[in-house]
Amino acid sequence: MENDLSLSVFWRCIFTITLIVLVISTNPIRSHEADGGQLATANNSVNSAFSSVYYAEQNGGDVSALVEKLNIAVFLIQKALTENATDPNAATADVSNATTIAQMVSMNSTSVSSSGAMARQLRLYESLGTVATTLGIAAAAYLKGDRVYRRLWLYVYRNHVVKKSDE
Amino acid sequence: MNRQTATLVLASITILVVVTALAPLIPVRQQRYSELGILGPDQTTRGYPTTVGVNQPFLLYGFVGNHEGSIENYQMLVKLGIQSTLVSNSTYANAPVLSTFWHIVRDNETWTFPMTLSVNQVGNNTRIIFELWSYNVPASNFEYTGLWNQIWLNVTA
Repeated sequence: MENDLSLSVFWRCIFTITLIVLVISTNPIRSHEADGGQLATANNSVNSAFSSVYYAEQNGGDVSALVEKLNIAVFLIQKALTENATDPNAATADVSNATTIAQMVSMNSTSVSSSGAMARQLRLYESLGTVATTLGIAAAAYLKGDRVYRRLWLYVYRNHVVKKSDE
Repeated sequence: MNRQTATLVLASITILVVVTALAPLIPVRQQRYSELGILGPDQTTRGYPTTVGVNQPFLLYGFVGNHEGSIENYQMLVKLGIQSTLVSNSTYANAPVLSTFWHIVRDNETWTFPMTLSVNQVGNNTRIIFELWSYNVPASNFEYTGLWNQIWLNVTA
């Protein structure tokens, strides 16, 4: 009877140990491998960031630095795809970094977009200002140019030529 | 200088200054297009492989040019086709994807990149089809640009 009981305890121990070993050995693989969900998130983040950068460029922003960063994110995703089978930890890290970079690009593109829009508006105002000033000067020159020229001529002539010859 | 000549000079100068000031605001209309090219291992249009072994890696270079007037999000899909695989400027190939290359290219810039490829099945007249896809921002998905290229291979055991 006692022998049967110890045998049962023995088998229970074996079963428990086997379960623990199984759980330990499978868990790290599941938690560290870059799965389809993470990759899809990274892909979506990059594409969403691209849309933001695209609109920032349309608004006149200088997006060179953002494009460079976004290409780093793209590179990390592609690297993760190739190393997923051999180095799952590195793949997960790369996918995570790619997502972070893409999200940062998305955030930064807002300020690039608004500064581009402001610069564009400033250029518009500058151009319109130049046009208005030019037309104003041209109109003044057309209407009052004769009189101004004559007065100026007279002033210069009287002060510097006539007076000198009187002396 | 009489009054008529002075008026003419004044009008000319005014028109010149106004046009110069407004020139940056006028949008320039130019033809918009993308470019796709496949280069050999020495990055020229020579030396393309014609026969390769199964799973034997071979090197090619892809070339993509962006003249679309804005940044473009490109993906080059490399597909494994057979002699009868249909592909055209309007239809992409319904064939397994061997590899995908992805890059964001600024306007008036090009992207040249190495492609180390291999084929895992024996076959004569195997086609390696290269398709260029670009991201459509309003639709939020990649769309076939209609640009494609191919090389013919005999894959031996």
